[in-house]
Amino acid sequence: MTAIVFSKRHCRLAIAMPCVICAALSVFFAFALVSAPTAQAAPSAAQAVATCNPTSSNGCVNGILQDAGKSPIAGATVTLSGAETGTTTTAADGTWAFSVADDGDYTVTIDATVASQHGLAASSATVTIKKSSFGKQRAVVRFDQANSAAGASSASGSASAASGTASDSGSTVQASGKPSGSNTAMRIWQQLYSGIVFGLMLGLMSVGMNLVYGTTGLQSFSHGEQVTLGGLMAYVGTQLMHMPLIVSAVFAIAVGALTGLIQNQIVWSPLRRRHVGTMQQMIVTIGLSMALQYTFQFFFGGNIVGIVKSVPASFQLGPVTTNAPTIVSALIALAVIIAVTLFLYKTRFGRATRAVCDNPALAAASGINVDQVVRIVWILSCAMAALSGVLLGIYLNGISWNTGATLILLMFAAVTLGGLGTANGALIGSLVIGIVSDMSSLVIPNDMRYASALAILIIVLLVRPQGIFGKQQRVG
Amino acid sequence: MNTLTIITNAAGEFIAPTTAAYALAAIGLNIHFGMTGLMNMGQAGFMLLGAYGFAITQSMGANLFTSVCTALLLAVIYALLLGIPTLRLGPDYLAMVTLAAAEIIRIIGRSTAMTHVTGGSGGISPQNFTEKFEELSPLPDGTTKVLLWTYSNNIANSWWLRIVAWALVAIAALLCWRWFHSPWGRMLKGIREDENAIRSLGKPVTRYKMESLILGGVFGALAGIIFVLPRSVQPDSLGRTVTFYTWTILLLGGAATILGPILGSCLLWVLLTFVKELMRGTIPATFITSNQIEALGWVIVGIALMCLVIFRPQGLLGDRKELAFHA
Repeated sequence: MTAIVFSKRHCRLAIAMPCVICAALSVFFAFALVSAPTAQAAPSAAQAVATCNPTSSNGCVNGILQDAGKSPIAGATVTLSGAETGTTTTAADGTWAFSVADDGDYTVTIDATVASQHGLAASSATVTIKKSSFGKQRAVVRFDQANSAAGASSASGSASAASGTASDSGSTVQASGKPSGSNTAMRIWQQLYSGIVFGLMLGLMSVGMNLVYGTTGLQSFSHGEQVTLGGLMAYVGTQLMHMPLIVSAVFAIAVGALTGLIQNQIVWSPLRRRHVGTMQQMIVTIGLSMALQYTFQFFFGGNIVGIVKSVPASFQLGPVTTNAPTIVSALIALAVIIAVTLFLYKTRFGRATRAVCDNPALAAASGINVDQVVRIVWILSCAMAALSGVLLGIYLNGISWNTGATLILLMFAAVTLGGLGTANGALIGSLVIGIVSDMSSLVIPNDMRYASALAILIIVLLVRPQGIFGKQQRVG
Repeated sequence: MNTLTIITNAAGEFIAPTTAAYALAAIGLNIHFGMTGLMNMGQAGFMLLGAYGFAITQSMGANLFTSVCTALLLAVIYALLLGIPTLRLGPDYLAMVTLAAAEIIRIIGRSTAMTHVTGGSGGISPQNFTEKFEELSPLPDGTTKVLLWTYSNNIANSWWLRIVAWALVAIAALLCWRWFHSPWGRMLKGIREDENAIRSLGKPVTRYKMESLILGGVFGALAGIIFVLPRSVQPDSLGRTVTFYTWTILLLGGAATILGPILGSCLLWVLLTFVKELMRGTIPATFITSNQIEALGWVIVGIALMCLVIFRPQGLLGDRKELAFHA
């Protein structure tokens, strides 16, 4: 009985720890965010019909028509010419958008009298749309900025990072203003840095997933949706319920933890009791992943939603360009991973968890409540996934219904590389995957970089299937 | 929207080429999973390779026979590449490797660097690869109405394509029926039930598994060709989700049965379309938009997959004793 009492106490600790760390560090981050001058509002956040999101079949030309004093100009006529033509009027908040199907150059024009009336620098701007390129599928035109063409190109970088497959890491945002490709050493550092940041976030997701695998033998496809859930809940918190970011983050983590508990009680625990095979359970997670993904799409639409609606100022840190939220997010991820590792190795409950990982039957025989351990692991894992979703959403300037789904294979790659079912293997694996996938864009085209991470997964499975830290016994 | 339109649209899915394509893919998956117990989580990879092999050679001006052969050859090579290293290992290795490999094919296919070959994420548009197939049609030009449905005879989503697609499905089902009841098929079932027992009889288990992987993959490639003919080759439309739908279809109809994949495919698409059309017809668009109904449809598929695996893993036609998930 004492064991159970103990584990209950530790279980609270387990949930409390990430929350506390997160909250503490978020204070920082919120300050940094407030003090950072707001460059511009993210154009993609609104869910109005007038909003355009680039997909594989359409690109976007959009913008906000504002006068020099940043107040919106409503009802102005915007004309699009070039590969396709169109006309629209600006909405009450000055936004306008065109969804275009063809690649090519587009010229956006507003009435010259409107431009001069409101003291705008230009009345027309030309942008290039290329649907297949992440950086060029969306062009943002700002007539109130002196050099509208340059303004458009730098804004397109930040918008595209938030769009599409969530694959774009901060590097795109930060590098966009710079002469790209001129300095190879600089690029290597920048990619290494964004790889590490991405790897840390991936690590936060993978550690929890790996714990679930270790204790139950289940490779969960729906873990990606837990990440998405976290990001979306933070969006609900900040944008819909107008709570501060930290409260929203805690709210997201709480929702994540709750879903972990509920799904363990309703689905996984009964399945384990019925001795349903892990392969069969894996297909159940696929079904769950599909159902959750499209539930998100149902409620939040196909657009990217922004957790925070401002683009923070970037600054130079040694050889890399970065911004405060990125650093704080990475630090939070690192801190939580360290906390979980300490928890696994230093506490009684952590030891019990590792015992269950090694041999559930033996652990049960020696008095460990395996069900309890698995329940806590599910809660912890989903809470961490939610936190990583929040951090990812901030880091990538937004989150969409399928963000987690695009990352799930990278998580598999990370945990397989590190060693399935090992605690710290996931972190190392994630860092390697993050760095390799970001660094590989130096040699192979940027949109192929995830392929390199998956190639690692295949090679590891073939050469050393137990991973770096795994035990030999799993082979074959 | 009136009732007749809903029923026409839903029942139209019954004979749609896409339904046939999914049935073919599920037949291939049935050879992998139902007969041999291989966890292929990358059937979409076979389909995409088949589609690319067909469409690219067609756009380069090859004749139909060469194109189909190229598609099938690609599937064979791909199966060999995947199978040689992984078939000796446990079932979860094949699952992971096929999943990752299918994704790699998709990522490379949609990459901008490959635009001159695959058309990048925009893909290959139909006028580049469907002409020769449409020319082959013996049907006269124009449209024909049969019972409730009116389709063009030869162009795009046509009667000609429907005839070819379902003929292929029938041939595939017939072949499967022959194979299932041949000594070779019994060997595969033996491998599915107990690999070591078969090995103890001195049979080359890995070779049999490889043959199964190749055959199923070839059906996957054929399915890919049928899948892209009424639309265009778009790498993103043949992603992971297609594999998952194929699994749902197979498990719905019943793995290790001949007609299971076909029944599963028809049933899934007809029901799904019916539910979606019904919602479109009854729920006002101001309350739930068309996109949301589309999403809701997939939520239903996901939940159906979960419930199937939990409550009736043998599907509608299957035999519970026959189907075992070996983990």
